[in-house]
Amino acid sequence: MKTLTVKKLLIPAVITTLVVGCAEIQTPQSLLNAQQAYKVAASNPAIQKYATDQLTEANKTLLNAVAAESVEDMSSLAYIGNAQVETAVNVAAAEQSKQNSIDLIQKKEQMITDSINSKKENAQNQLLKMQLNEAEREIILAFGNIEFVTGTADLVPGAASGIDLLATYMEKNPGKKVTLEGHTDSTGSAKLNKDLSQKRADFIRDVLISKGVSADSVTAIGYGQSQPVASNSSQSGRQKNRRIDIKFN
Amino acid sequence: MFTKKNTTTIIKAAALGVVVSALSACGIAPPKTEVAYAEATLQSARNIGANEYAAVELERAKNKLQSAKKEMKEGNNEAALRLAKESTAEASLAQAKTEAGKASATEKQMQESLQMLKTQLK
Repeated sequence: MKTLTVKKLLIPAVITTLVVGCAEIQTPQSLLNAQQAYKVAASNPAIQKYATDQLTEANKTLLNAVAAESVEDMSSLAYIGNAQVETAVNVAAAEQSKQNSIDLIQKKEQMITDSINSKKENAQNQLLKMQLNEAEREIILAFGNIEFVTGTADLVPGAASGIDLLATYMEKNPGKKVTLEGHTDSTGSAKLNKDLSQKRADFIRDVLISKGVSADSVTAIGYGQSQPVASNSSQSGRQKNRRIDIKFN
Repeated sequence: MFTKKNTTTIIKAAALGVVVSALSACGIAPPKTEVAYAEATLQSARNIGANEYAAVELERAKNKLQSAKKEMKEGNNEAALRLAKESTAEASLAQAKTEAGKASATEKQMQESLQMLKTQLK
């Protein structure tokens, strides 16, 4: 009877010891560290995005560690959990680097494309400019052949090809502006010559407008005898001075 | 109902049960699968060049695996199981670190190449 009592008392004591024994496993520092590392990693948006699975795995391991029934298991799971957190960090870093590399390649391609386009555009602009210059030179040359009947604003027949060239050119290049400058030799009074040069420039302007050139794009100015390009004392010099200069702007 | 003899028998049986279950907690089968898995994971890490990018982790995984094998040989299966799992986690980390190192090296190359292009296009 006495033994029985002792044994009866023993059973609850053993159970109590077992329960207390479980509850008394002290959380090792390694687990606290792993939990802290997990907390930091889990709050990082890049890791959340690129290493979701690894984070979930680490979390599961750390929860198992907390619930572990022996110190050995708890420490081991803490170790594994810590490695899994670090794995998540590295997986995310790799993905981020890969993404950055893709962005860099795209940036590079864009730079090359931009550069090619810019060079192409430059070349095209230059070509266009050369073509314009060529056309303008041709017109200016043709205008050098324009002759007026002395004292009038009438053109000498057959000397008008420059006007046609100019009209065509102006139509093809809207936005281009041209100034017609009338000049005379020194025969006659300066006042009359100024009026005459204006009349001649206006005449050509009217012809251009009649051919469809916009009135806004043609300016006519008479300079009279004020800007000779040759001596007025010879026949050929006077002929050079009777002229229409054209300036493109 | 409960005779003295009956009760004693019950207590004896219970005590035996406790001892048996305590023993069986240690008595798991040798963790052959886990050890093999740890070995394969370690080999994968080596294959992708972990010795260059994650030498420390690779070494740890290797040592854990060796210890796991040793413990299993000596019949300490629980310890062997823990070590095998730790080795696997370490080898996986070595793999991830290697991938990260490689990706980072590629990114750096890309940056340098872009910088060079910038200079050339100027």
